[in-house]
This record gives sequence, structure tokens and C-alpha cells, in this order.
Amino acid sequence: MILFIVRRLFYGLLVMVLVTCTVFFVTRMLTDPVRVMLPLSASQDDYDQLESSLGLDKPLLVQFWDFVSGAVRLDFGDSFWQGTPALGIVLDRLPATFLLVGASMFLAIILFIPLGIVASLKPGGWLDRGLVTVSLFGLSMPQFWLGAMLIYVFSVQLGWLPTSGSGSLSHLVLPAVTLALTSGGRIAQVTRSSMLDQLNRPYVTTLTAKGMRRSYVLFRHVLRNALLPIVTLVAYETAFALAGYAVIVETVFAWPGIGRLAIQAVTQRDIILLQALVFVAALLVVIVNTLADVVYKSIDPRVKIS
Amino acid sequence: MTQTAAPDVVEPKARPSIRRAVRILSEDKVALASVVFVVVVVLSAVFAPWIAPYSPSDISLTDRLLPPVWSDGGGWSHVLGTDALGRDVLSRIVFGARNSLLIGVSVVVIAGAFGTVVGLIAGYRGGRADAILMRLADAQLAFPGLLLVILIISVLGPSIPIIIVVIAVYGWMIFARLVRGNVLQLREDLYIRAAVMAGCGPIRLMRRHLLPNLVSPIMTQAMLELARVILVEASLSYLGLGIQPPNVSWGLMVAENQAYLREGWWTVFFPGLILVFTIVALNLIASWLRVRSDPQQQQLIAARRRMNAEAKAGEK
Repeated sequence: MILFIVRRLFYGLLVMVLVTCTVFFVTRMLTDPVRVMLPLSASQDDYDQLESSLGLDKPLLVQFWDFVSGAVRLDFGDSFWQGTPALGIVLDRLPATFLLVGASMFLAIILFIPLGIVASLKPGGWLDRGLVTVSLFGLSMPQFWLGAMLIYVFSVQLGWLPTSGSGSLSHLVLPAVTLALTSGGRIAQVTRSSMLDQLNRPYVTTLTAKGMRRSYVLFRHVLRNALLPIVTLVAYETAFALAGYAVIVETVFAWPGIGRLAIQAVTQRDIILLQALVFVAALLVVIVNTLADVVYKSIDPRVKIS
Repeated sequence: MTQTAAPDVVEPKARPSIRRAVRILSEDKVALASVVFVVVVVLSAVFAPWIAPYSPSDISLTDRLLPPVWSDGGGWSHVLGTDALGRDVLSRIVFGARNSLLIGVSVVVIAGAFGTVVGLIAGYRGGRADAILMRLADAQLAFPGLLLVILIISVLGPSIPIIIVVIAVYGWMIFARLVRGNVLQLREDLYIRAAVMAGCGPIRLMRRHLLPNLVSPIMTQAMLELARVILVEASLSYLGLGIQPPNVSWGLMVAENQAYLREGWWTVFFPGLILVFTIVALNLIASWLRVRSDPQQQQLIAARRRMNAEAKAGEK
């Protein structure tokens, strides 16, 4: 198990190295970051000053070394926009994103896993067919549009919930529901097919023939075996949302998380802040994936993940 | 996937004529409806200037926020109403289809071609090449995709070619993995081994024996990817990092009009609705293709049909 975790961590490290190299390549070699950050009216003096203050007048290899050693110490420099360390700004916004993603995953799990289970018990029934249709629409729905429609119905027409912003539980409802509905479709579908797969196995017949209660067979045996793909998917969806897909929901509802920060950084042309954001998001994805693998393995010791 | 074509014997395949395709399609009403919808979207994208009643950028401040034809105050001159600048919503949707499809198809073609080549090499050569390529694909799948795309586009500037390349760079892995998996299976098949023993070189083997067997899984995946890329393009345009005004995109329309949700819900509702229908239709076509190309599923369908026919005959 320890060897397994070490190998996963090593793999995560590889991902981080690749992300760091990609970010360096894009921001330093494909473009001139000083030009991007300065307004068009800036003079040559402004240019030279910013270039040297960012250390961009040094040779490329030295720059790369500065960049990598900075990334290792989680020091990305000061944000061009706010003038304070970029990492601090990102960390300030993280709790909001965690709250949003956590709430939506919680909703998705308690709503859609039971739905998938119930649907799988009567394949081809009206509930099953309905679920397949609904989840197809769920995963085809652009989050920005679903969010806007929910705002129209629940905020504009009914006036039950605030349109956007944060600060109270009622602000959290619409963004969390939007995120939960779009990822819940996939969760319900995978739950359903994973359950169906298990229900057709011979051991279910054996246990039933032995006279075990149906609920016992279902919850102690079938569900346990069916859980693996579901855990993977939930982890994947969480990582997916943290990796930036919450950007859209956060923008629709003006939710002050890292996604909205990314868009603000783009408008402010603050590459340093964007670099810090990408790095932190990558780190989160690696952590979630590693945790998921460990959970995966402890649910089913047979699993071998290369 | 168990075709039994003997090596180098060209079997006169029945050319799938359009009529035959329509007959097969008409057996599945859902798939037929999806194909019809996608064809309509494609046609309206291609012939947009002739179909759209107005130019997408025709501003008319006297016709601001006119509702669609069926509600009070709406008229046939603007079937789906107008937006806050008095532009015709229907015309903008028709023109928006152009960018969605242009970007979607370009990305899928580029990513599909590159991924297929990588997958063929990895699956066929195996060994170290395989290990390195697949590790790379895995690592890239673990990237914070959208944030990195935002970073790249904001640095390079949002132009259509850049958007296409950046999304394609994020899409090749899925094709590479799919093709590699299939090649690994196919490689063990008797007819492939026979072809190798008969002295068939790697290029010829890939082109004549491996690729034809990969067409249907790749097509299925391409449909799914097309749906995904259209969604990504719309999202980027919504965020202001995709198609830029005065150009039109479905995602951009939602972003431009979100502030007028209270006064004109239709300006946001219809572009998104078309987007949802397009993506659902592409997903349905993909699952139809998957079922059609799976011999096991085909047998099941045939058996079910026989049973139904017998049951009907019994009733009479």
C-alpha cells in the first residue's frame, strides 16, 4: 500500500513538472509577457523597468530556473494587478470554490446515486427510461445557460433566491444546483450501468437462492461491488470542477472563487496571477486523483492501478 | 470487430448508398430525428446568408427587445424576437452555427487524425514507444484543462485558429487511447497475423487491415468529441475568450444578453436551447453508431425483431 501511494505521488509529481513546463513555455516563449501586461501606450522605459523587475531580461535558462525554484517554494511573485503575492490572492479565493464544489458534489451524490440505483432495479421501466433521457440532457446542458435559466425562473420570476453574489446560504443554492445537475447526469448513468452489471452476476442468484433478503443482497453485496466506478467518477467530477470547470458557474453567479478570479486576472492582463492559479488548480487535481486512487484501492484490494 | 476479410482479397463491399443509409436510419426514430436535426443545423450554417432573414449585425434601436412571434407584441418579422440592440435572434442563431461547426469540425479532424496516428504507432509498436506516448496522454488528461486553455488563449489572443489549435491539443489523447486499445486487440486476430506472415509491411498493414476496422469506433468517438468541443467553444465564448464580437456565437449570445434576462428571456433562451439540442443529437447519433457497429448488439436487435414478428403472427 505504501509503495502504491509513493508511486501515485511520483506520478503526480510528473504531472506537476509537465504543467510547470507548459506554463513556462506558453508564457515566456510563445509570447512576450511584458507586452501582454503593459497597456499599448507604455513607453520603452516602462517596458524595460517591468522587464527587469520580473527578471525577464535574464537568459531564458536562468529564467526557467527562477520559475521552477519559485514554483517549488510556491512563490510566483507579486500579482501585477493587486501588487500582493499571487499565491495569497489565490488562497483567499479557494474556500469559496471548495464550498461550491463540495456542496454541489454532495447534492449530486445524495440525489443521483439513489436515482441510479432505483432505475437499475427495473431496467426499461418508466423511471429508468426517464432517467436516461434526463441525464443525457443534463450532461449536454451548457452550465452558463442552465444557470441563466435557473436565475430567470427562481430569481427573476419567483423571486425566491438572489441572482448572484455570495454571503448567505441562499446565494449558494443556485450555483451548487447548476453544477450538481450537469455532473449528476453522468453519476446517475454510471451508477445505473454499474449496478446492472453486478445484478446480472451469478453470485446474486446464489445469494437469493440461499434465501437472503433482497435488501441485504442489494446493499451488502451488489452496491459494494458496484461502488468502484462510482467513486472514480465522483472523484473525476470533483477534480474536473476544481480544475477550472467551476469557472463558468462562478462567472454566471459572480461567485468569488478561483474561477472568477481567473477571469478577473484575464481582464486585468495579470499573467503572474494566472500562472499561480493554474499551478494551484493542477496541484488540487493531482491531490484529488491520488486520494481517489487510494480510496479505490482500499475499497477493492484487488485493484491494480499501473 | 470480428471482420473476417482475408488479407489482400478485395471483397466487393456493398457501397452504402444514401437510400440504404436512410432505410437503416428509419428503423430508429430517435437516431433519425437526431440526424435530421444535425443536417438542418449544418445546412443553415453553410447557407446562412440565404436562410437568415436579416444580417446578424443589423442594429435597429427602434426594434429593441421585441418578443418572439407567439407572445404579445411579437410579429412575424422577427420570429424569435430581437435582442437589446434590435438584432434578429433567429438570424444570429443561424450565423452562430457557422462558428460552432467550423471550430468543432476542425478540432475533431485535427485531434482525431493526430490521435489516430499516435494510437496506431503506440499500439502497433508496443514497448517503450507505447509506454512513453500513453504516459504522456495520461498526464495530459490530469491537467487543469480549462484553466490552462484560458491562460493560453488570454496570452496568445482569442482568434479562431488559435482556439482550434488549443482545443485540439486537449483532444488528441482520447483518440490515441481508443485506437491503441483497439489495435492491441486486433493485433492478436488471426487475419492480422496472417497478413504479417504473408510479408505485409507496417504501413500497408495499418492502412489496409487495421484502419478499416477502426472506422466505426473512431466515428463514434468523433461524434462525442464534436459535441464536447461545441460545448467548450460555447463556454469559452461565454467567458469572453472565444469568438469575439462583432462575430456571432451561441455562447457569446448568452453572455451578451444575460443582463437583459428580465426584459427579454428569449435572447438567452433560444441560443442555449439550440446548443443543447445540437449536443443531445450528436450524443444520440454516437450511441446509435455504437449499437449499429457492435455485432453482438445487432444480433440482439435481430432476435428481438424476430420474436416480435412471431408474436404478431401468433396473434393472427
